[in-house]
Amino acid sequence: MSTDELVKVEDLRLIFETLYGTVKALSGVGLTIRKREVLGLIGESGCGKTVLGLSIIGLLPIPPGKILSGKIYFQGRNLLELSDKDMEKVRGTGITMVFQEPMTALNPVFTIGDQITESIKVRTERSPRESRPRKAAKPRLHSRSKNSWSDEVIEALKLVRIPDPQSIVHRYPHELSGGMRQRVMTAMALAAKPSLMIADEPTTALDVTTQAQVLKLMRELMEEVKTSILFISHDFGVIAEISDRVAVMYAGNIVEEASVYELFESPLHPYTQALLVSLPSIASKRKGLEAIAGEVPSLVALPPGCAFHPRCKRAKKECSIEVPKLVEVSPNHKVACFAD
Amino acid sequence: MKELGLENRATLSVNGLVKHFPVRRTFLEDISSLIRKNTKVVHAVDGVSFELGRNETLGLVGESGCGKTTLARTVLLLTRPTAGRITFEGKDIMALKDADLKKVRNKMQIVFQDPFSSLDPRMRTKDIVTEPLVASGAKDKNTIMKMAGEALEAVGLKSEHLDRFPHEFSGGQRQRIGIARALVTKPRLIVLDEPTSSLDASIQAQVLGLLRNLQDEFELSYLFISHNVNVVYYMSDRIAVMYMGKIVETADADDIVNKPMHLYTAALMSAVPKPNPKLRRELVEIKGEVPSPINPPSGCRYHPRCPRATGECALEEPVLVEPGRNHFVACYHPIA
Repeated sequence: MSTDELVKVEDLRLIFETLYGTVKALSGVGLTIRKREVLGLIGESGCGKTVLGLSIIGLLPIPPGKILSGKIYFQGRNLLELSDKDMEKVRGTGITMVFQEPMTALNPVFTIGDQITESIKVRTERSPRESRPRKAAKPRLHSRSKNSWSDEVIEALKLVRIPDPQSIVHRYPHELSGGMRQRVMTAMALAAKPSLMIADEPTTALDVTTQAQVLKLMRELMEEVKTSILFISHDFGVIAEISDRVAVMYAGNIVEEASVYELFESPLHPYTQALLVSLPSIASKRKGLEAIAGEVPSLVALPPGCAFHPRCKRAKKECSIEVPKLVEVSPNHKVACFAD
Repeated sequence: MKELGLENRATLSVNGLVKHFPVRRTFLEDISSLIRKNTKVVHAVDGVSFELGRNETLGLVGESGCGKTTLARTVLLLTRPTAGRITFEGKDIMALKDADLKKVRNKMQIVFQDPFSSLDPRMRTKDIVTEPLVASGAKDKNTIMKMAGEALEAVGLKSEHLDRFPHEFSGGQRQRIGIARALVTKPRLIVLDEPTSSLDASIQAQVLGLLRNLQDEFELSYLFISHNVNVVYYMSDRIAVMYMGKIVETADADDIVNKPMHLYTAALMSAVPKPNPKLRRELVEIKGEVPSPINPPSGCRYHPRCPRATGECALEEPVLVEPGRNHFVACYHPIA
């Protein structure tokens, strides 16, 4: 791994055994997340983007999931070889996650303060780097007295620009708006100052004006906390707003990886190209949209060769035989396609 | 309130439409509000007027809870309005008797957001698509099946799909079934309530394209509702922006997007994510959060969050005025 790389996923193959057959969720994914960047991971539903996120943070249930091959390097170690105990140390301190639906990700019966305290407690008890005496660092969980919230909790809320954190700590999740809840989730994820935050569709449940605020906030926090973000989304607009680089996923594979400007300016993979002209946007003239014919293949019955070839206008003979590899065609631009 | 104007006779004309929902909390509160006669209500739709012409699409945008869906349902009399007037093809449909209303209903249909919950999982496609005809009293089986076949063909499904159940279809195909069900009675107006929100990008384009073709083919009027401004812009001739139960601005789609006059519209447009990283621009942030629709702010409902608000904004509610041709805005200090 070179020095500016934080995470390197190599040839990750992951399946789920189900009653309906073997679901090939990830078929040979390669992905690099650099230090202090937002990598946007875009794809349609069921393409495996969430599974990829969950396998990096080690939250995928195994079984039913089964890793056939691959490596996930994080800070020089292969996460797939770590013991559960060691992985637990990475989770919540080195890598954290923000989920899509802030209402279900927060526990409805504990106050915001309690929940942030818990995330901090987990970190301080586990992290060997923490030099402070344990007694002092241990915040009270489920505290009832009014002013016992540690500075860290208040700091975490201030970090995500929550107004009046002193009163918010006493609130329950249902008392907050969607945007506020997502800020609380982000506060919990960033309180540990992780090297990588995985954000899985964090703004999908929010209104556009709130979404724009949360996106702006995440971008600022990335600089402040000096973390990298793997930002998973199905929305090209959101990806264009927040990402430094973008990886495009289709049916369990990364088909293109490039800087955000390059990807939107000169997309190389036929799938990326087709998606970009199928998007209605207020930023372009209202001409006819070019829809992609057909539908996303089922992960149980993937077509042979390139998974996109049945829908591809430029498919050649070899496309249905062999899976194209993700290769670097120009500096910082990788694509997996046989077509020229 | 001023008529939102089109010269030709409108297919649908809505005037001062109001829909309030009483808030029910506890039994005791119910009693006390009965005694005091000050029942709390949610002001879901509060005095909305618009016109929709033949073969025209009016887009309705706004954030969750602004009353878009309530407006859609009220326009179709799926819920009874609290006040106002709805004229469809020259008829005041609120004055119609049930039997007459049933006939009119054939001409106004709706397509729902979620194609997974809006199709009965135990009904076959043919039963789903023919149900509106049966409900409106059609008897002749051959005619019914013929019309269903035509509707399915129009949305790009084949006769072999007739005997299948909804779970055998993908999301995009299910939404096509939902559209066929709306088309089968040969309507003049279709209300599209977030028809592509649950579809993937590549499928969304297919369905949007289909809807546009159907409009041209059958001269349909669409009331197109979505929180997705990109999609509404693509589909609509004119756009109405809703905030807290009110239409704050109506204009041609291009004007709403490029020359918004209401400050809320401007903030909304700046927040729309554009699939082009070169267009990342300064976000017009809105301060605060949407107030409770039970106690909406006095005067202009946007004034507590508006950067240009002055004293008069809190006192009296601005009405829609027409500072530009076909461009209506309800604001005392519009963006010039």
